[in-house]
Amino acid sequence: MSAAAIAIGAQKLSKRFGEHVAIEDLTLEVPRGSAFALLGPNGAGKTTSVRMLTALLEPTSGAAQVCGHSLGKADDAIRRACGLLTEVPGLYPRLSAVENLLFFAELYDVPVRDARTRIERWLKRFELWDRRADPVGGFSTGMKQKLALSRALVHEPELLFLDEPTSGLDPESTRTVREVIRECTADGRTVVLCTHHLDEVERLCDRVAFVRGRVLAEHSIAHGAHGAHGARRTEVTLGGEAARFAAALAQVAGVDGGSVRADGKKLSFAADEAVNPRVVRALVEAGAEVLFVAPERGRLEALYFELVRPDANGGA
Amino acid sequence: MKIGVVLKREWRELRENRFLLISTAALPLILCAAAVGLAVTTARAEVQEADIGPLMGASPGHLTPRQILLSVLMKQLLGIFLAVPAIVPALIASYSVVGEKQLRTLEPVLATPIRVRDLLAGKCLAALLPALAATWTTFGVTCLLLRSVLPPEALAVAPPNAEWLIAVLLVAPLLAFGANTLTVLVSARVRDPRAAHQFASLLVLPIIGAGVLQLARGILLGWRFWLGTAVVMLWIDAILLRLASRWFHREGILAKFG
Repeated sequence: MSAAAIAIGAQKLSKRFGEHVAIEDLTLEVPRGSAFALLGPNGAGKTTSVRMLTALLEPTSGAAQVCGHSLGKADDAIRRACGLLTEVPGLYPRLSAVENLLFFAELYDVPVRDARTRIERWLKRFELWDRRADPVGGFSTGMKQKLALSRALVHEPELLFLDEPTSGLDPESTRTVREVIRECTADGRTVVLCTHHLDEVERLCDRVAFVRGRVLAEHSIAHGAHGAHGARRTEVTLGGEAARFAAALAQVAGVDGGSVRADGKKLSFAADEAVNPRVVRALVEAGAEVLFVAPERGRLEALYFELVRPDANGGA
Repeated sequence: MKIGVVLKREWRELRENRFLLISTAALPLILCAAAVGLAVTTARAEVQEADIGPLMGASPGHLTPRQILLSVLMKQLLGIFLAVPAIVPALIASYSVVGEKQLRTLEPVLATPIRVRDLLAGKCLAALLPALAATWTTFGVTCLLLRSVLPPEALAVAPPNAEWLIAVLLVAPLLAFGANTLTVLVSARVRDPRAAHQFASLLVLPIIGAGVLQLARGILLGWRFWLGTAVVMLWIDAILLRLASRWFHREGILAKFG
């Protein structure tokens, strides 16, 4: 991959606090315009990794290029290129929503007129416009979270680091935030997501790194064996023994990685959504009773527990 | 230079914090009223040499016992008056810094391309400027009131004079700077703004103590004492600044306040 196509290139980044190793040998390559997830339990080093990559913490060793700028040499350029949604919204409660955003826009050197236009756009997008003049201290958790996300976007960063972006949000706001994240990647921005919501990672991200003091593994979420971008895994629940129909599934064009799930009643495969009707037809023609067709869930969860549980990988 | 941006934001928050505004304004008003009230009462009192005892010997020979008593009172008030530049910045800075710590607002700020020295300078000025404005305004108003209500005989020992001018124009800014820096340093260790504020306010105690010493030992502290105090404060400020510059880099701030 060319350097211009990479948003984050980290080589063996490590951070120690005294004797404590927060993260060791973090090596990542995140393509521009992609959504990348850092998954791991609390204390796994996700926040430290993000803080290093946003030039908040100085790495103890290693190197990284963020949006084409070298960490440690062009830190201000990195800060300008990145937007950060922290775990806690961190807003000024006595200031209004607009005052909060204007303050940060000024810190990012956004001209005031542009800042006002963008602030209006984001506050309307997140349905906060009617409360724009109210002190933020009176906002609900979800409103604060959406305002903090607006803050991360107000300088139109190339790269967004989002720590639990849907934490505390109601289903409607969660959907809005997820849409915004998808729009960001569609616009060519890169998104790095730190979350415990495995489902969110499956919905939003292209790749995931499992972290526990170091990167344990990196996987593609879009699981096409030949790298077919966007090919999500689907599972079909059948009325009888699924293994009998595995051959019929494998013969459908566009289906990849077909397998029988552990319960013996489900077939799992990777394919573009447009292929699903052909899969159902083929299975029915083969004599199967199709009960459900749904996006496969739990695969990432199984992988997570396999990789991240304390006794896995030497308890790292 | 983002100092102005930080300063503007700090003052917006200060404007909305009524408790802090009232606390900041109350102290100068009380001191001004106390100074004028005590001076007027003393200027009208019957004072004999026996009443002021050893202070007679420590005072210039041409002063009357009443003038000596008024002079001692003014010197006492000067020490107490310096509580304004010590307490006001400590009060503002403690809420500003510990407030950021409690709300965890510093991480998003430090993630912007702001220079740490601009952030700190903005925060310091946000506390120092109101403190100095309060000090100098209170001093000006107190002097004007004293000049308008005291009898001519009492004006000879009333401020402004050399010691008040040195204390207010030289010691007060140094004291305010020291109190502010000490508050910020202490704030890294505590989670309650009041603790930081109270600790920093201790800076003024030696000065008030010197005032008490005047009465106890029958000595009168003149402009040389205040010049010496300014030198000591300059030295203390240099130490505090050195400590602060060691602590306050992005990572240090994040570790202590983030």
